[in-house]
Amino acid sequence: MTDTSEFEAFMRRHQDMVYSVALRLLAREADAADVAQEVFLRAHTHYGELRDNERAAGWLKTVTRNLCLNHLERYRARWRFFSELDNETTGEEFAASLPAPAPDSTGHDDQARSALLEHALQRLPAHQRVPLVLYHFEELSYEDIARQLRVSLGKVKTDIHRGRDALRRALHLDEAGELTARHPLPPQ
Amino acid sequence: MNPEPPDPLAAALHRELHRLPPHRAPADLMPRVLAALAAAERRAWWERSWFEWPRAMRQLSGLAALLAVAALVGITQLLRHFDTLAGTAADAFGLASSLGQALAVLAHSVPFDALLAGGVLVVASYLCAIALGTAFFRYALPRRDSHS
Repeated sequence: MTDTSEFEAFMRRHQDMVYSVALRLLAREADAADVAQEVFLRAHTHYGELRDNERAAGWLKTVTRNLCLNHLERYRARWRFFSELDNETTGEEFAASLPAPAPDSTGHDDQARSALLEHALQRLPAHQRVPLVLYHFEELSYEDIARQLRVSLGKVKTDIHRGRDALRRALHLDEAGELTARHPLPPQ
Repeated sequence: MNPEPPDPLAAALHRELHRLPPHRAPADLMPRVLAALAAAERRAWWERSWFEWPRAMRQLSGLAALLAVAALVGITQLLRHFDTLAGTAADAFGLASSLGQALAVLAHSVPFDALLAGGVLVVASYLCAIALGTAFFRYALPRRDSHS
């Protein structure tokens, strides 16, 4: 019988991480909360092995990722369709939907920068956001991403490249990664 | 772990993304999980997986499974003797065939008019039986009250 208070402490330690992974992959708070709930229900089933296990965080991350990808799989046909339509125009429209740069181009606010980046990441279309998150946050290789998403390696690289380009515009970075304008706070 | 990408833009984004703090989980996440766990605990034993059944039920279901296997083995054994059964059936068929041949010889020796008259008599008897039965059912048996 699992001690409830012990499991609650376990949840408190890992819930932010689990929720972050889910939200960055799904970009919808309600869906991310549902996935996070399912992850911890499964963790409860395996709590005997996870308790005091240093690999518990890795296990939680893997389960979260798999559940998110399963969730996205249901919309796969729609995802593939829109991915084929994606072009430079769509990328420009995305950049245009973000806050305009402030007139003065000196200095930058770290908090505003982080908020803007997070906001821009969530606004990316799924076929760009998911491989980007899997690469930069989940540390998967291009090959692993292609295998997980069951798409070609070339498509993964293209989508990640386009996602980075969209984020570059959001952060007003130039091609060298240098800031070109001050970041306003994103809309709430 | 993926190394920092060689492309300066990708490297800058990699650093920026890694600096992002984790999102705070919603306040109702833990209550939801605990409520779901409590609901799972309240399920009846037959709604849970077999491994969570009471010991007596697991033993009983195991016994039932063994009996089913034994019955299957028994049927298999019975089918092994199928050739014996098939031989018996073949003998019966041979007997019926002989009987049919005997009847055919008999029919050839009887005049056609007599056979025709016999057939008509049989059909007429059936029709009379049906007519008498219908009349008996309609007039002799007490009527049931019809519900309007």
